[in-house]
Amino acid sequence: MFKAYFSFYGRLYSKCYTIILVISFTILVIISCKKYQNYTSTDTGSLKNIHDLEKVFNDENFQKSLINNYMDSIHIVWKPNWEKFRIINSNTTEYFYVPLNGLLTTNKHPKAKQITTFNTEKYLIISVTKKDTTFNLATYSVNLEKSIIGDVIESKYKDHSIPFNFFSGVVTIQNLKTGNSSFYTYVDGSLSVEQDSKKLLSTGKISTTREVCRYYLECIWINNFPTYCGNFSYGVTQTPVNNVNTVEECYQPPGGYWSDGVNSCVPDWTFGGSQIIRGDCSYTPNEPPPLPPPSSSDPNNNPDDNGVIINPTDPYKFENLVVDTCLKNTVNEVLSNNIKGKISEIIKKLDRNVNITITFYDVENTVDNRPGATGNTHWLMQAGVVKSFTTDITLSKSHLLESSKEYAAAVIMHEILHAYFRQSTAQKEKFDGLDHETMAENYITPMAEFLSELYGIKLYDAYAIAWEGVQDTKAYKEADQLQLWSDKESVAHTSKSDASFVSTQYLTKIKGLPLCNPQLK
Amino acid sequence: MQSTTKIAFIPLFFFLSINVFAQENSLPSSEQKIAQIIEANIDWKKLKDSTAIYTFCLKIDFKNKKGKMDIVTKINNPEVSSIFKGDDQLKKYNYSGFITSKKGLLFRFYIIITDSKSEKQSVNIYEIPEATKYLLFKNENNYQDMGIWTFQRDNKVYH
Repeated sequence: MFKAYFSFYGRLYSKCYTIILVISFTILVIISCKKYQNYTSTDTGSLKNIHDLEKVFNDENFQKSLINNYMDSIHIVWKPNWEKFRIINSNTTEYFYVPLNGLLTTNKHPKAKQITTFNTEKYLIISVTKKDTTFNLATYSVNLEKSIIGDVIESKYKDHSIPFNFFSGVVTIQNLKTGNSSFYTYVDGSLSVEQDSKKLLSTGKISTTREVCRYYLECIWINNFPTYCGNFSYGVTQTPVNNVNTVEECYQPPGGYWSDGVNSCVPDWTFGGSQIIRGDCSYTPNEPPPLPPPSSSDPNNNPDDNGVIINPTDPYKFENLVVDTCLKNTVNEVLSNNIKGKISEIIKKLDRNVNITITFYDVENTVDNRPGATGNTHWLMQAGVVKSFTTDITLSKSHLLESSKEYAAAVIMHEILHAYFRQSTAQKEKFDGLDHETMAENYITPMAEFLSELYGIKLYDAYAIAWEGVQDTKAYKEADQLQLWSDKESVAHTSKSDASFVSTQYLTKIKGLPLCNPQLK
Repeated sequence: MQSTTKIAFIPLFFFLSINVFAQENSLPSSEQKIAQIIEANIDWKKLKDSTAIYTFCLKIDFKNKKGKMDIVTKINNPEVSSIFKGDDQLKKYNYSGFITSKKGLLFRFYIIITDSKSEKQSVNIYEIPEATKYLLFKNENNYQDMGIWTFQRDNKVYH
């Protein structure tokens, strides 16, 4: 009886445990399927992550504050695009910039339609300190007479990639909890006060000067495009004004053309309504948040800048067009590894960078009779900033099909490093003529560790193979012995002839895995 | 392991595989796409690499003909236009990303060939576009300026 009792509850326990596991994993799947990366304090030093902030935004119902109504018939909801958030760290405050997309509905057209903004960018800015978290609506309204943004093409408004480093115009920061608004004027990217106060403030420092009472006019424009031009039917312009004036202050969006090759659309803007946004005149402004950081499609974007985190996920940009199956598989093994280390980091960085395309080919033999070659290298630059980098890696079948898998992998890595050294024109200039010297000095150990872990060979053997491609270097020629690994207690060396002997064994398949029908260890 | 426990791991594998392959697409800007059309349609093998630098303008005119949009493209350097095969692609391109009151779009291009036979090291080639843009290109107020683009080609092969 006892046996039956325990057997029954044992099974029940097992089933409950299983159900809990299923539910947990399902929740994990749902959470992880969000397109954007959930930054946490461990990977960015953030005080909060974007999921926490999105939850607070929803719990506090801040979305309600981001709805504008015009003439009782037009409604615009500004929805945060959480996937495109960016961060700036400034001393003790962390600013999250979430671009806002406008969705428009009218009484006649209740289906929400995304609107195109002109002259205006809107962000939800969340400032996070150790003490508190503040949600602000920031509206950047461009001074069209002054700013370069006046000429920015519409697509930059769409993907929120307008550069702000030379921003001239007005910024409204509205605290979504208190409703208080502050206005700030910028000229060429620097903060200034109204001309009548004759006092210029530096970007990082603001005086306690009482802000001038100002108003801000938001205007809706409707385009009488035919239905096939529907995407461009609505626009919003926003104009800073000094008093509650009439709609004459509304700025009409520029003209434009749109063609799908057959149909053409020439916009004809009709005024659809306006509303005045009033600043709190008695409010003493705080220091404003920094201007939005560049987006990934901004030429001024530098992912290495401290404090600026760009949404990093980009499409797969290695193309393996190798025809020979055995060689193709080896290329895939090198590219799709689970190994930690410098080589893997380089591969992942190249792989996930949307601006980089590296294509692998195989030929009977390379022009210079070498096992691998990197060439057909070219860059596309806009105003001196590299927008894309393309190169081809060619592998010689006559060399590599007769070698071991380990040797072929070393050649592939060697060529990937050549590509890595020219991923930007600045890097090309830096490394030109120094590729092999750099590999000999800085990359022998990472290559050896990668090879050893990928194929389970002795580290000694892996070092010997890694040295093979850089025998033309000063480091190799002048060395009496080759340094292998070193740690606190010992430095391992070997003679060049011993290393060469081992490497040749992998070249001739005496040692190592055959390129075809391999049994991975 | 009981079969029910095994089932519990199915979502885990599903979860892991989704995370491995989940990638967000980040698309280039509209003007970059046009520059890439130019780059992809120049027959680079036919461009003499004895010259290190070429310049050319691309004008894309929007002409409204009886309600139909007519796209007219023009490259002002015969050496480049003779080896450019992308006219049709430019005409079929959807220019919905461009809002301009101007006559059309103006792209200014440099082609820099490094390791060419005539390359001189006395000047920094990367500074040439910025330094010579006013010398080589006329100011065209009627066109939306789409900026200066450079195609840099490296003839060297690395082993």
